[in-house]
Amino acid sequence: MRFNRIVWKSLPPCKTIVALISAARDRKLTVRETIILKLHLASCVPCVNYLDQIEFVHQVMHHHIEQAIENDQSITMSDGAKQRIRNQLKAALPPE
Amino acid sequence: MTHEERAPFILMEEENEIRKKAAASPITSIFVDPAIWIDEHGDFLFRFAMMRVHDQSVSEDLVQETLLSAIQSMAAYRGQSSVRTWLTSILKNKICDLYRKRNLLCPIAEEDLELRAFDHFFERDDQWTNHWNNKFKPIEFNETPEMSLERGEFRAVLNSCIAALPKRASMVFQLREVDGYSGEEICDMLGLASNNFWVVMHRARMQLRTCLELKWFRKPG
Repeated sequence: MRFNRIVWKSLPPCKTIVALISAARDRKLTVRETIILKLHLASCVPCVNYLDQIEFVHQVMHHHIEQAIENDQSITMSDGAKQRIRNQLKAALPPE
Repeated sequence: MTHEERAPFILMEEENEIRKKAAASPITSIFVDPAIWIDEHGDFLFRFAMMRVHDQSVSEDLVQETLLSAIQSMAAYRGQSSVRTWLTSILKNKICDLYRKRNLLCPIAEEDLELRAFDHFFERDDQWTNHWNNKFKPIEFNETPEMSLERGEFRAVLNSCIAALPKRASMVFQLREVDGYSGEEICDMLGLASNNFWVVMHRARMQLRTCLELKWFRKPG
């Protein structure tokens, strides 16, 4: 028990680990960083939950924006804007 | 109506059907018809832009520029992807150009890199300095993303959490998480130092997950 505490106290704390969890999604971690992260996650439930939460956020952002773009019929261009663009396109096309 | 009076109307409808099918098909570049791009793809492109720039008139301008640009480069379109995919990639580039311009006008500031707002999550009065404070320990989200997204109330909560992000962070975050650009690509596009990029991403993720936890997963009652 005492040995565990010594090991645990010599490793970076949760505040550092959450920054590492985020960084791991954007770049390759060094070997040292990877070991530190895995050791910490092996015995820290809150940080494991944090990792899962970040993955959830990623999934939800991705699908939410995609679905809104495909399906949200309430977001449309005004008819005036559409007509204006139609006119611009006609003017830009080569004569038939 | 006599047959002769109806005939031209029917022909036009058939023609439109052919044009519609051609516009959706990946192979027939000779039938690509700008005249119906607005009807077929206008709203889709508009929504694509709106979800990124959050400004109606800017989005309308982006759609217009995209379609005009597409006309000019029509010769280069060989049907390697559907018309919509092709138009979307033109729009994506226009949006990146806009981000670059915006960034020049308004580069990253000290407050964008501020993490102190979350310091109290790790404040403890025992020997375990900088470990999670028991009050703020992250909980398990007991739903899958699909389950949550099925609920209208969740989407409303998610929208409010996204809206609460600082504008610059929101842009960087979306480029990374939704559009899938790499860190290097984003830093290049926005003239951002990698360190700053990582801090901005860490902060955005921390803020979003905290917001969702408080407003959805831990809601009282």
